[in-house]
Amino acid sequence: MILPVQNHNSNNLVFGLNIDEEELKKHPVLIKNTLPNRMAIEWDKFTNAITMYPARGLKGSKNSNFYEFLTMGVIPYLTGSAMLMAVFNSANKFFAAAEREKASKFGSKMALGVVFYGLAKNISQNFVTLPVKWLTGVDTEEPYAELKYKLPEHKNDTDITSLEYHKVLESLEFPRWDVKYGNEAKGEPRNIWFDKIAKKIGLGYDLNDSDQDVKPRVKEIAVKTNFAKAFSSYMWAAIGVGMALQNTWDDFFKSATWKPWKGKPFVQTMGRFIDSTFNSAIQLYKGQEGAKGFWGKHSGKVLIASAVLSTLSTVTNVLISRHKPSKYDSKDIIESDRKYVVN
Amino acid sequence: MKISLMDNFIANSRSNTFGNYEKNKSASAEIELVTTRKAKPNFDINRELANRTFIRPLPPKGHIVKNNLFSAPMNFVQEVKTDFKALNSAWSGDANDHQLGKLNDLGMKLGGLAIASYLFTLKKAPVTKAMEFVGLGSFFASMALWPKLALDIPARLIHGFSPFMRYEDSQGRKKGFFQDNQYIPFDMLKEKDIDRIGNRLNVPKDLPNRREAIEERMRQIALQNNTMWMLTAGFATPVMSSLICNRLEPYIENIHNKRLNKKMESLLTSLSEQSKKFTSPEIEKGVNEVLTLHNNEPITDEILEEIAKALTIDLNPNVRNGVKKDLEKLFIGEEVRYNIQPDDLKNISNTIHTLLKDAAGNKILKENLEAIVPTETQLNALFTQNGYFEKSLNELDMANVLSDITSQVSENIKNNPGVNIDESLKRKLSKALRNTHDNSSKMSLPKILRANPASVLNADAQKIIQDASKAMTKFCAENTALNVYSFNKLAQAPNTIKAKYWNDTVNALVDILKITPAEIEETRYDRKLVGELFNKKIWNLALSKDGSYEKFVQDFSHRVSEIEKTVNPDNLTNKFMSEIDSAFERASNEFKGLGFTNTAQRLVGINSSEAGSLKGITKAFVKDNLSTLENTMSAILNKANVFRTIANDPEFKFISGDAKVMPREIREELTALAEYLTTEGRISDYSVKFDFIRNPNPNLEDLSSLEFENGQIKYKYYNAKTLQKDGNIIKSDESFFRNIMKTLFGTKLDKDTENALAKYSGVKERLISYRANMYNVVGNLENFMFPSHITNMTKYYGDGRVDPASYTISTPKSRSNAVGAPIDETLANTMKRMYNTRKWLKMFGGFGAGLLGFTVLSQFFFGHSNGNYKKNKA
Repeated sequence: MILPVQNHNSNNLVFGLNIDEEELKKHPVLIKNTLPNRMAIEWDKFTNAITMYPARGLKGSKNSNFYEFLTMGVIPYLTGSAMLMAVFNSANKFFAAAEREKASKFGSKMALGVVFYGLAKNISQNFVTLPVKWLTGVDTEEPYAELKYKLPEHKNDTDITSLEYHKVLESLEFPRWDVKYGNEAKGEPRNIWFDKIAKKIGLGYDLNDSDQDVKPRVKEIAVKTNFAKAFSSYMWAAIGVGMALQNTWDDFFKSATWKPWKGKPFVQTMGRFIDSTFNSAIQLYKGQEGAKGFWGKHSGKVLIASAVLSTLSTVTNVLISRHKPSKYDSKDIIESDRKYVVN
Repeated sequence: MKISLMDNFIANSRSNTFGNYEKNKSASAEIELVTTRKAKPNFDINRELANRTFIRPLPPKGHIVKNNLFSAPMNFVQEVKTDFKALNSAWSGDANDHQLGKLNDLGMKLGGLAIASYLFTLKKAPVTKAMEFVGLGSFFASMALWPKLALDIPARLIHGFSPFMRYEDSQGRKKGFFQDNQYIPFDMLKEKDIDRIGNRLNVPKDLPNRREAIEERMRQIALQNNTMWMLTAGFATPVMSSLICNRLEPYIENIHNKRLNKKMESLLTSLSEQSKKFTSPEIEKGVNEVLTLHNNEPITDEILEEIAKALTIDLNPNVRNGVKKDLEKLFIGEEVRYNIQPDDLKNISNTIHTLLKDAAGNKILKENLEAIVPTETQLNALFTQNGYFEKSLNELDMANVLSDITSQVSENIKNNPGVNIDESLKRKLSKALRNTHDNSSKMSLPKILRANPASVLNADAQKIIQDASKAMTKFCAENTALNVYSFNKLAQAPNTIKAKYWNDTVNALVDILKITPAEIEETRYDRKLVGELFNKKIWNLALSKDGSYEKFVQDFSHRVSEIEKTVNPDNLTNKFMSEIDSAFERASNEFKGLGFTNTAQRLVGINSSEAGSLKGITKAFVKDNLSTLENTMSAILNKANVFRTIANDPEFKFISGDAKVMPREIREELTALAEYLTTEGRISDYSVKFDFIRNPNPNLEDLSSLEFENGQIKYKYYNAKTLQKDGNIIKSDESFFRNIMKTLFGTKLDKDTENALAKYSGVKERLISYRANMYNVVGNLENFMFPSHITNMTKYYGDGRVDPASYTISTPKSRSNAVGAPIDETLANTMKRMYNTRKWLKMFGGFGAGLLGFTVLSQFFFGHSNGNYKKNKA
């Protein structure tokens, strides 16, 4: 038996997300794609991923779904990163002084490499999604919230809803076009969003069925953007690791403190961190001192060029469409004296 | 709800499909078909519509993917094909969700490859370079292996099915069978398979709807496994990957070492031939650039310097100086000559003007200065009259030119009575004209006059230099081949053959001495403690009577004898040395033929002495490194031999002879010093370590034997702590010095050592040679007093024989090579490394094992939370 929707526990809503709860009970609700909203969503997903979803999974609950499984994917990323740092650092304290210093120097760089990998990978996705958004109007990252109904786990289980966050263009086989249609009850034109996109990508104005014209193109943009993200973000992540392994960090780690309560030394550490990040990028580009041979001197440049090229080429590919707008109006190409079969 | 939806769907389908078809069928006669160029030529729409087969759903093609050893290669090929197809579809913009998911994995692998490739370029040693890719591979392998190992295999064994099995859907997409807990295509499983699994899961056979119950159990178990995978993979993958790398590294080192050794031995067999691949165009290119730049210019010192530099890239400055001397000799001759042309006169006159103006300051008016500076016409007349334009001028001529100019200035002063210049100023002006201003950028008349050397870099000169560059290119290729060989064999650098041999042998020593992890942990911070432990272990062996000593000598010798197969001292000291001789002789003769005699000398030395020559340096690298290596290994065996000798002859008759017994206290002091020197033998310390603190008033009455207890020596008199207070350094005790040297190196090998070494003749020979060398060069008192002198002394052969007529030479370098590396330090470094690795392995190996155990055990708790079918049965 499906319990009434009123049973949705409003505490499930995330603090900081401005979602109309009444609307949410009726249909999925779009969420504005802003940094605070994205962070709120990620935080909510993260807390669920480490608490509710594994608990459900380990119980073997029927309510555990593919969304929860995918959301739990964040766990191996985080535990794996922490473990990778530990592998290179946690045994060092048992070593003799000279070995400890040597191992810690390398271990600190590896730990920084893990952090930079994650940062570079996530930040670099914007190198793809933002230009696509500016140039085509299609925000491939636009999130929406949806209330899902579960089966009761036991007879007293009245909270049978679960809040899920998806992206409108998350599935390219089943894009959620429904959330992009205007609310006619509120006086919005039904194709308001599609009209806007049609105009932006040059399909024309005042189209009769802009949604039909726009959907294939948007789908193409989303596919290519996802590909561009997947392909180039890992190359930028490689740059992050490359930067972390430069010699410029050696001095930084010698006197860095990560304890904010130490006051001035912590502030100085932060300042030097920015300097070292900048210097490491320069060293990655120029090559390390005393490097010999072409690859010794230029491998950093090749790495940077690969990342830049992968982003540029894939983003350019997004902008080149197979779905060209017709140069002719229908009245110009249909010959009135002939008969046609319309499928 | 389900039913109504289905009804709606069927109703809609009927209205839209069948309904339209019926309508169209009746209207078919009125349809005028328009054929297009691309339409199928025989396509009959009416027949197709009448046939109705098209409205049936296609038969499903989905099936479970069988993954076993035999299907794995084909599956891999298919996966690669699918990846490429996905790549193409994604680029074109029509990929599906499944394909995009696969591309994310591909992107991650490419990113990983980029990281490994970049790190590869940062690393210098070949094995560490290779380990970057091993690390990458092991990481991805661990990602795939962990769920297989920790979850899939236990689940198959316990529950009878794989929670990670895959299926291929009708569109050919391979997916995890249980990846979506709410969409599991159970219809792909055959009844008998389900029954088999149900039996394993103990689902009652008489249960109504048994299949549903089994499917539910399977779903539950698979979900629990998937969740467990997510929870454990992050912890497991880095640890597993690191452990794989840790285990694989020695194998990679072995493979690298064997390949490198094979390559080097092959290089040595045809060194001259194979040296061609080391030919670099850099020398000829650089020389030609200099020649083109200065074509037909007067040959100056700077040009010769540039040519010498271009000819000797990567060679030492000594050879460069030789080349430059030869160039000077060839193109300038015995004395430098210069030309002066009429065109130079203006510059000369201007220079004189500037110099006189600077020297006189405000003491001469401007118009007077103009009057005394020789004009171009005056200079022209002067130079023509003396024939300076017609010949090349040597230094004497140049002095005359300068003198003539000075005279002309004096004459101009004389001819202009209005110019009032006193004698002092005259001398100052004269000095200004003659000043060469060496090491200064100031203008100088002698330099201006010498601006045009008579020798010119013409075609003939260029031909000689180009021939020299060809000879140098050839020599440098051979020299590089020689250096590549000796470096890879003997350099103290990572991944060389010597480094591998050294590490393996010292690691083996720790095992052979049975040094326990606890002992390593206790001593790791201090090489002194390692030295004490080493002494303890060797005493234990030396005092044993159960064959342990012989076994130690044999086991260690067996490891040491690997040097014949790997480093191969025979080849290095014979064949390689003759290759060095041949290569340098060839080059020397060639350079001599081209007139570069100085260069030839710098390559091979003067007369028969190689001292200071490049050949000498090349050979010294081999000799020094090889002797240090061999001597370090021999020193370890010698220590055991010395202890065994003392253990077998505690009265030290090997020194004093049978008739006389040395006082016990002196013997104890000798033993203590022997312990000390054979452990901390570092040549820089040797001279000071003989400053051994002893008892200035030893008990000379006690002639009793040395005592041993529990496998260790028991000192009655010697006590380092009390001696710090009461003892003294007795510098003048020559007899004590000679006795300790004899104890360490100057006796016959102990008979047990000799017997144990019977099978290892090479090791034995080297040990004897080491002892003889140490006795001759280190144990020679005169050498300590006069480190670089050649002194007459008795030569000892190490096997008890002496040659009273011979003498030997000792220099600080020869003593340093003789002593080798300090054993305590060598052992301490190895033990520290072992401790670190063991500690790391213990931490993460333990963690990995714990995690694996926990994950496997968790399998027993899966699938038990739902017992409904039991209730149903009841």
